[in-house]
This record gives sequence, structure tokens and C-alpha cells, in this order.
Amino acid sequence: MSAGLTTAPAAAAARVRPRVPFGSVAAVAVAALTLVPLGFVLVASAGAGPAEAGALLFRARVGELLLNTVGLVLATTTACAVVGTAAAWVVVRTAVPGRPVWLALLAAPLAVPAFVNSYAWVSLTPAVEGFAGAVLITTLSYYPFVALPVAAVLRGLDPVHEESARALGLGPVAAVRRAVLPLLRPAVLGGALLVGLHLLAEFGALQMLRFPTFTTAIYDAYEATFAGPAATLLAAVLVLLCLVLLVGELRLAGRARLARVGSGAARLRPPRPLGRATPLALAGLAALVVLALGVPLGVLGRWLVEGSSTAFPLVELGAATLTTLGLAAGCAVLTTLLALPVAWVAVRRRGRLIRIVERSSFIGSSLPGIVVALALVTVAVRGLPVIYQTTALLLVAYAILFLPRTMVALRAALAQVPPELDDAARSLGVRPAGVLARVTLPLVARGLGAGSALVFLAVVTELTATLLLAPIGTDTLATEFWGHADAVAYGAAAPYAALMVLLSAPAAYLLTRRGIPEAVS
Amino acid sequence: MSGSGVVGGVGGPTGLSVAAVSASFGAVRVLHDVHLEVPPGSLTAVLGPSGCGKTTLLRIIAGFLRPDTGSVALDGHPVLGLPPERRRIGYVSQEGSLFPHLSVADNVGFGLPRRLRRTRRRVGELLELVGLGPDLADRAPHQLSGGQQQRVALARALAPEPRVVLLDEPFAALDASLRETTRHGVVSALATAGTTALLVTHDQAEALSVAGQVAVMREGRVVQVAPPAELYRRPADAAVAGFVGDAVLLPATVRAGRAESALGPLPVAGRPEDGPATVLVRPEQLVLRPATDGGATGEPIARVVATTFYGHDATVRLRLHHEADSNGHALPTVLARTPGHAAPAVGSDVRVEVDGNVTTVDGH
Repeated sequence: MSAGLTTAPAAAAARVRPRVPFGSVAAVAVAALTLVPLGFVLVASAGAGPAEAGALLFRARVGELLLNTVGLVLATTTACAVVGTAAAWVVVRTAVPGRPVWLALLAAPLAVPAFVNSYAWVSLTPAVEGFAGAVLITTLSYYPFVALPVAAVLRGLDPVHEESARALGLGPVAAVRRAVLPLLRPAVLGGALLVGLHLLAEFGALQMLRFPTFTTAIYDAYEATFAGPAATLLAAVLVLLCLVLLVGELRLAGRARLARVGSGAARLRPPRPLGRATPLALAGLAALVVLALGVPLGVLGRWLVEGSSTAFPLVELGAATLTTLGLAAGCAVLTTLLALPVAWVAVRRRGRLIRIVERSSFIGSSLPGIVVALALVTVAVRGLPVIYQTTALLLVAYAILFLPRTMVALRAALAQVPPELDDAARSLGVRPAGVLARVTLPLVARGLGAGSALVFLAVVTELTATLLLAPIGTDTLATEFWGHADAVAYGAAAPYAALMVLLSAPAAYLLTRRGIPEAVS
Repeated sequence: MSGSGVVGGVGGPTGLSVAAVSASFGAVRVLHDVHLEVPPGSLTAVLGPSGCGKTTLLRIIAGFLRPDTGSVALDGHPVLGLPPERRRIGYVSQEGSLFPHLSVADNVGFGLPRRLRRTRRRVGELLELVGLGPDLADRAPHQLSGGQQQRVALARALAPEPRVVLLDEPFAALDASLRETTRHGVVSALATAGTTALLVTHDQAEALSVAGQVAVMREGRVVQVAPPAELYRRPADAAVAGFVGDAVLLPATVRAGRAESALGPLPVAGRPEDGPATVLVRPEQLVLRPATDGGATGEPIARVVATTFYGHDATVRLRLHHEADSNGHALPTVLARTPGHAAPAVGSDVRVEVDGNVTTVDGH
């Protein structure tokens, strides 16, 4: 067969295409937009002279922030890796009673934004303030990022590896350690890196626990001096930390070649009976679910019923809900439009430039919301004042932050549309626009819908960028909640939190169905 | 739809005509000065090994690739300036490439004008043409077998009444058992429709059995275009001889239309020049009889070195030695094909007789 020739990169280059590669131009433009925050941080920190930068960076306060941030990232990612892997193992591989229910509950904490979780714990006991409490609460909020991918890998794992190890003379524990755990490593590390990126970006949960990190300090500096050099330089350090994690992730992705070797379908394995360990496993899972889900929902319920400041201002609640839904829908449309050319180019074309374009859209979204917001505020105020304090600027920030959610879904969908289908349609007399309308779009509609749903639900719980960028008078569920909770009006905050949880629940469900963290980052 | 290839281009050449086409991917030349004429209403096979450029040629004709130089004409009209959708050239790929979101009926009707798409009659006719029942019309592509998918792909390609249908290894992905019946169904549908067709394949048996004309490609060049029987009997060179079937190539000396070789004096087809030459004998031309039978003196004797049994027939590897030749010259091994039930035992001696003419070939 000469199919080998036509699938070679060179053959792809010789494919007949329009003279102006519209898709590539649009993809490069989108990539440039997503790189604005990174560019801003580089330019602005370079602009602050070395003396000023030194004075602002080499302070006891910055040392404390660094210690807090790095300590939190190390402790929480480790805790998430252990808790998430153990929980996934028990739910997927053992015969623990009620496995489908536990599997759904494993992902359920994703429906509770970390800052709502934090609010619940703080209003229950002030003892959670500080490092230990921050590690506890962020672990409870973020362990699903490890548990879900590990569960997915465990589900798809062919028992043949473990059986081969046993046949080669290893005991059951050694077989798992040497033949199974290495296969889980990419999922565990990938999930842990994702947790790390979220921790670097976390603002609401840590501010409420009075645990200062770079993100909360940038917010405070912004409140005090707007986008001055203090905020910018702290942002530069934070970006540096993010890049360290990103490089780790890239190296991981490069090495993860653990696909099944050989042909034939993987067999399913029967779950391992737990025997006398059953009560222990049940108790562990129950404790996890009570702490991660029971506490925030219970406390929220209590505040809704009996808080002294509890009120149900229907007009404000309705307005905030409508604003939130409107922003979320707008952002879903915008990210879809931006993701289309990038995903198209990434799937159908090859080359170094294309890879850079695709990567850059992921880097932009890996930066904390506070950095993206700070960058857009400064760029808008200095360069394009008309868009400052507009909904458009807020939507752009959302798009930069959440683009990969649509991209990943769209990319996967487009990869299912082989170029041969285009050829077939063209040879049947259909023009390129007709091919798009009659073949490509119908086939990617599902992926587009899933990606949009994820963006929609991310916007609903976005706090940091919204606080900085929402035009005056634009109140979302998250900012209304934050205003009340920050003023210790816990009861008044409760209805907004409850609405956010309700709107987020479908996202958590979607994540259990897909089970892969790529939907999150 | 029948005969649409004959109607156009009054007075000019009809059918598909490829002239002086060259193409390259980057610095790599994949097609060198390719010429090919496909007569209207016929099925021509392009036969070649992997990477010989045959799929590239097909994709250039379809309009998915541009050649560096050369021309492609349909019924005398050049088509290289046209986008694929305006060439009226049907295309069936190796996987069929059915649209997964559409039913069988909607796939078949995809290239029809909107008004014809809605009436099911045309779709039903096309399904019947490729040997599929109307009950399949509402199925999704993934509910069909591979062979059914290829038949639907052909029905879809024939629907807009193309001037030529191009088939890119359409049977290669099918199981051996499905391949035969699907091939038969597709070829008879093409014949019924009277459509000019170009089939690309690396399977010599497929090319020889279905096509009226076979073009052999090698390293980007068309090395021979001939009807199947002529291609098999009189290949252009030794490589083609070996590519289209098993070949016994023997050094020989030609004198007055007879070749002196290790198999004795053999009658040569055509009018060969006198002198040293390489002759081609097909294994099935070798007739084996037990050596104890006795025979004409000088008839070569061979020892059976190995046999491979296929059921209907068997191949026998022989080492030649002459009864008279006792000075122990190394003589060539040759391959013979016998009916399966008549394969001689390994180690036994057989008398070898050659049935029919042999051919001289170049470049051994």
C-alpha cells in the first residue's frame, strides 16, 4: 500500500489548500492573545529597575510568602497524591460495597468551589486558620484531580501485567509495586501537577483562612497600590513557580509512553475481595466524603436555615444568577470561537510553529487568574482605556483562563474526523463550506457541547479574575458570596454559595463520566 | 449513468488521460513522467508495491494533490485547474470513509442534489446496484461489515454519476473471505453502471483477475501497461515478471527461436534475437513425472528439495541435474507448481518437462 506515503508529513504539506491559510493565521492570533499575561509580567518586571526590584523582592515578607506557597504546594500535592490514589484504588479495584456510589462521590467535591469549602470550615471553627488548615481544606477540595485520572487508568489497566509479574515469581504486593504502580505514575504525577497549579492560583480559600501566599499578597498589593511594581514583581515570582510546574508537566508528558503493547482488547479483572478489611475501607471512604462533602454542604445547609444574617433577597439573587449565567454563556461562545482555529490547526497540520501555538494556549491558562487579571487591567488602562471596566475585558480574561477546556474537547472530537471524510465529500461535489457544514460540524458537535459545558461551569465559580475585572455594578454569584463572606456575614453568603454548588454539580458529573483531568486543565 | 464517459468530448480522446505527470513531496520525487490512458467504460488497475506512488497518482487525478508538471484530462478536457468537487470524479478509499453521523441512505445520497436526496428511489437503486438490500438503508455505518461498508462507499461514489471512479485499495482492509465476494460485487456493479474506473492495488492476483488493463508502477514510474494475460506472459522485465507472479528465470542461449537452458531446448515466443538471454518460465509450465517413467534422452532430471502444500495446488522446489552430467556442476534450483494431490515426495527424483512457450526478459 502506498498509504505510507500519503500519511507522511511531507504528503500533508502537499495537500491542496487555500492560498491564504486562514486557520493558521487565526490560530497564531489566538496564541498571541493567550500570551499577553506572560508577556506583560516579563516586560513589567524588566521595567522595574534592578534597585527597586531588589528592594521589593528581597524582604522578609517575600521570604514568608515563598515559604508558605512552596510549603503548601508540597504538602497538599503529596496529600492529594496519597489520598486520591488510595481512594481510587479502593473504589475501582476492590469489592468494597456500593462502588458506583463511591465513584460518584469521589468526584463530588469538585462541585464545591474551594472558597466555599473554606468558608464552611472557617465558620465551623477558627482552628482551621493557618498552614495545617490550609493543607486540610485544599486537599479535600483538590484530591479528585488525582483520584479521577488514577481511577480511569485503573479501570483500563489490563490485569495481564500483574498476572505476568506473578507468573515470574513475584508475590502479590511486589507484583503491584513493580508491575502496576509504575503504570499509575503518569496519572498520579499529572494529577498532582494540576493540583499544584490550582494551589498557586488559589485565592479565595486561602484568604478566608488567613494563610498568605503569593496570590493573596498580589491581591492585597493590588487593593493598596493598584497595578504597581509591588504587585507586578510578586506576580513575576508566582509565574516563575508556575513555569517550574509546567516544565515538570511537559517532561512528564514526553516520557509517558505506557500504552498497551500488543494486539487484542484488554481484559477486565474481577474486583479484589476485601474480606476483613471491608469495614476499614468503608470507614476510610466515609471519612473522606464526610470531610470533603458533608462538612461544606452541612454547614451551608445550617447557615441557610438559621444564620442571623441569613436572608433571601430574591431580586439580588436573581440578578446575580442571571449575570453569572450570561457571562458563562458568553464565555462558552467566545472560547469555542477561539478554540476552533487552534484545535483545527493542531489536528490537521504539523510542524514546530503549530506545536508552539498549541502549547502557548495551555501556558496562558496555567497562569493564576490573579496574574491574568492584573495583566489585562494594566494593558487596558495603559493601552486601550475604552475596554477597561467592560464586560468584554472580563470575557477575554475568562477565555484566556478556560480556553484549554474547550480546546481539549474540540481536539479530541476533530481527531475523530479523518481528512479522508473531507476528500470523500469533495469528490461527491461538495464545496469546502459545505464540507464544514455537512460533515465537520455535525461530527464535532458533541465535543463542542462538552467543552462548552465545562467552560460554562468554570465561569460560574470563578472568583479572582472577576473581583479584579468585573465592571462596577456587575455582580456574579461568586463576587456577591465573597462580599458577604469577607464581611463575616456567613448567613447572607449562604444562598449564593448554594446556587453555585447547584450550578456546578453537572460539571462534577461530567468529570466522573469522562474521568480524565484534561477536562480541567 | 451508463456511458457518460463516451458522451463528452466529441471527436477528441475519451476516457481518462494522464500525461507527463511528475510530483514530489519536498525534495523526494514520487512520480516521474507518468503516462496512462484509461479507455471509457473499462476498469484499469494500477499495480505496484508500497510506496511506488500509485496512491499519489490517484489523489492527483481526484484533485486532492497538485502535480509539479503534467496534465490530466477527462474526455479531452483538462481537469487540473478544477477543485475536486467540480471534477465529477468518484473516489472510494481503503476504509470506505463513510460519514459516521449519517445513515447508509444519507451517505449514498450525500452527493445528490437536495431534491433527489429526499426521494428514496435513487438510493434504493444504487444499493441494489452494489448488491445490498433496502433493509440496510437506515443502518448506521458502524453496524455494517467491512465489505458492506465498501459497497456503500461505491454506491455513494456512483450516485452523482461521475465520469470516472477511483478506487484506492478498496479491498485491502477486508478479511480474505470477504475480499473475494466484495471484489466481485464491486466489479460487477461497475460493469453494470458502465463507469470508467481506475483501481489501485498492490495485490497482483486482484489486478490480474478484475482489470481489462493493468499498469505496473515501480518507484514512481509506469513500467508497463498491458492486458492481464499479456502482462503475465510477456512482462517488460525480470522485476515485473517476478512481481506479477512466481517466475523461474534461467540463463539461456537463443538460437533460431529455441533457447538452450538447464531445462533443455525450449521454444521461445515471438521472434527473439539469437545470443545469450534470460528466459522466463512460469512454475505451472513445469510438468513433473516420476524419473522411473523413462522419457526422451536429454530431458532434465531434478531432485525434489522441498514442497509446500496449499490444498488445491503445491509448489515444489527442485534441484536440476542431468542424467548425463556427472561432473557435478552446480545447477540451478527451480520452482514448479503441481496440483495438490500430485505433489512428489521430498528427496525423490522427477523428470521435468516444459509445457508451452517461454519468453525472454531483460534485466535479470
